[in-house]
Amino acid sequence: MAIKATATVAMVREKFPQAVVETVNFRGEETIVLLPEHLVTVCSYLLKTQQYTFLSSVTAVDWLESDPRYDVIYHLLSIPNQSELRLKVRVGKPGEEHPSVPTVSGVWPGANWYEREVYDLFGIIFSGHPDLRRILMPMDWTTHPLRKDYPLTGFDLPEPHWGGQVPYDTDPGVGSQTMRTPYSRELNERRSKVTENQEPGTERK
Amino acid sequence: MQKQDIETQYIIEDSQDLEDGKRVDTMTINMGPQHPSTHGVLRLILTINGETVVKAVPDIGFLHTGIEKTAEAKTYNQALVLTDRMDYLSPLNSNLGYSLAVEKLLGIEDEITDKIKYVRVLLAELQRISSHLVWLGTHALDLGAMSVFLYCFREREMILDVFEEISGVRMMTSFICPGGLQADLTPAFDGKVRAFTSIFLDRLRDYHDLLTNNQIWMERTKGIGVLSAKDAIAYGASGPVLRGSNVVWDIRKVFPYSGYEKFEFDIPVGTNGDVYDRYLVRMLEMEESLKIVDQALEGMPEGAYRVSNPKVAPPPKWQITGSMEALIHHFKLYTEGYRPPKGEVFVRTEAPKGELGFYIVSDGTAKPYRMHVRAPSFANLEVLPLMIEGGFLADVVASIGSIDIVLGEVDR
Amino acid sequence: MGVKNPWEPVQTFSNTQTPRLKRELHVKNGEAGILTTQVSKLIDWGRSSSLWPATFGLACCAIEMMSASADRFDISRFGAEVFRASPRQADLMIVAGRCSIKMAPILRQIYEQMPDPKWVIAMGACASCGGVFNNYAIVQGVDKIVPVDVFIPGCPPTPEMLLFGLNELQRKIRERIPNPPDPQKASGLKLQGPIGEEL
Repeated sequence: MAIKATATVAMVREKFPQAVVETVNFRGEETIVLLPEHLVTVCSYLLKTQQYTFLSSVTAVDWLESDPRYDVIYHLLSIPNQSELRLKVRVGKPGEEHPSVPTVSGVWPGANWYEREVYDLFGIIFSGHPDLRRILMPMDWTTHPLRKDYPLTGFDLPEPHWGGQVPYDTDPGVGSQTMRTPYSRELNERRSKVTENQEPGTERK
Repeated sequence: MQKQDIETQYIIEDSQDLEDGKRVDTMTINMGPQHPSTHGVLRLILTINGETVVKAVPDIGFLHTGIEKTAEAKTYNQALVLTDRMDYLSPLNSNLGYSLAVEKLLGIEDEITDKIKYVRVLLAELQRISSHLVWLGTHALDLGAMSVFLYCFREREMILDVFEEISGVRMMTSFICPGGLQADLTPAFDGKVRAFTSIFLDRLRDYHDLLTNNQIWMERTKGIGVLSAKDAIAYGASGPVLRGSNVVWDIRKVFPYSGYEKFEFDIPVGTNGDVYDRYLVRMLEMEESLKIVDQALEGMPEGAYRVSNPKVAPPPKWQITGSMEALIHHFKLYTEGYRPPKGEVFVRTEAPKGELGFYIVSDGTAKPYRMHVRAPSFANLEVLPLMIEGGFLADVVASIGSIDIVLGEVDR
Repeated sequence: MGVKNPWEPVQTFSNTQTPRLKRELHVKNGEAGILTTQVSKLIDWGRSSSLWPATFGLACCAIEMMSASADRFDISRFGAEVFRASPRQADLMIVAGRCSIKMAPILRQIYEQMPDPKWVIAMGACASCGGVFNNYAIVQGVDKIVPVDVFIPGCPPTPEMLLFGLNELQRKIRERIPNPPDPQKASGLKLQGPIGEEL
């Protein structure tokens, strides 16, 4: 219940005044925005004294034009106290390709896969993570799909497996898979800027 | 074809000295994505020493659909359709979670009438029974009891008949939408649900007769895949996996949503955390869901099937042909969509697989800025290595079945 | 009765444009004998009536495929209840569900492991054309990877639709319509795109 979470927020504010940037209460849900360097200490405090033993989820939001760019969000749940809490950490300077956040997999072992997923889809590195590699995309994928500057239909990658036309004699077949929206038609026009050896998803420099 | 060489990064080297003085030869095998017993496209890289599993690493992502990214390009009403296809065994529960999150974001939770709440609970519990029936059928099929599969699917067809009656679609109904329901219940709905509830308790007893005290079943499931309560909570396992490990936690009781506080039902909790306990928890959950369905059917109130808030709900169809304002209203709602205020919400519901959470961030426009789904099967799959390392290879199948994963949810 | 029953199955392939394989059994004096024609008809009937599907259920359509093999919509009345786990023992691959890019090489590998003669049914909208998901992660139509004989629309198609598709495939086998060309093999087909030869 929000009453218990509010008490927790007050206690965290009191104990770690240097770590808390701001607290938000929207629709009855409490959010604490922290500085990245103090994340692990606050999390251990929440685990040991406030019994926030259950980590529901670690995720991220990409605010493309903001500085800092990404919000990394932790949803916590306390089973004995029956209360929920959200922690938020803002990282990512403009131009920084892979921002870094300390890992909480030492506090909650379940964070392992969630942080791998955030790394895979956003490119945020979790320092201290035991096994940071891609989990959802193929292993040799180089870009991070859930970033806002990655198009929904993806880039037309030069892979032999699934690209190309179906060579029926009567029907020339469907077009390339990026031709479906105006955005991706634009991408196809910029194809002359793509060379063979460059990273998929990047433009020729 | 790229050879996936993650095996070299983290397996135990073959022919290594694992026990003192004795050389032990391990073998790394691939329980590949195409497998009859992995309940979907799950890849397990198992390092085995004889029949014992020494190390297990799940490799997921073979069903990654980019639903979260696709939802950012759709309006809130259109993104509802995507939520059906994540946990494809219980689409109505995902719809319910999504609708609750969007309604919380919009701030129209108080306008949801009792009729909407009762129908939502009824459909969610029917969907829970149908999801558990598929679980039971496939789990029993993997462990050798093939006839249970056919019985479960026979019962499930009756539930799908109910869904087809109200929405026209068997599986991906999208019937529960933000703002209420898509349509009103038909007159034949009551009869079809009663036809199901009147026979289901006897059928459940049949399944119990076949499996629960069956010597073979008990030997294959008791003491297998043990998960301690501490591990379950630390890894974020939820639902029957958590309850099977002696943790009393059900979101319908703790954070009641959509009128669950009005219904009387119990929560089955296991003691040992093995496959048998999780099986019993789900069997008893089906009985409890049946109780809720009966209560909802008896106490169904009259009322509107949709909120009357013009910002969210379209005008009734008969008005559109007559009134220009209604036509424009309908047009704006379906092309542009409603715009919730800026903010973020996280709503948890109790899906058949566990704690399903929807985290929706809105930036004031008609499309969600970010929709993240906390899938229960994702966290439940993380505890799989804990369950099977040290056990036999044949028990891997039992453990996977007992966690009840749906890869559509794990990979999204 | 001038009104056609809308529930009658429509012709799903062209009589003139669809090629037919010759019956190549035992040609004597430049003509196939009557007996060998009957034998090859028997073989085609046998092939079509005992299709053994390989389990390739990926997502939601797999559940409807399981429903099709369950008791209400019985797939075994058409001879296809033996779902083989190993592709080496199967001759039909029902691609049921959305194929992601990580799964695509595996789909091709399973298809290649099946011995000839083999057929592929693309079940569902996602397998036929990408379906609801027009994004970076889903192959927009499994016919970019394997040659598909029958496409079944629907999301998910009801088991009756799957059985109708199976019947159409059986009709295709009996009428000796060949498999479509393999998209992974170079066809030598030159295609004219809007910007000249490069598309």
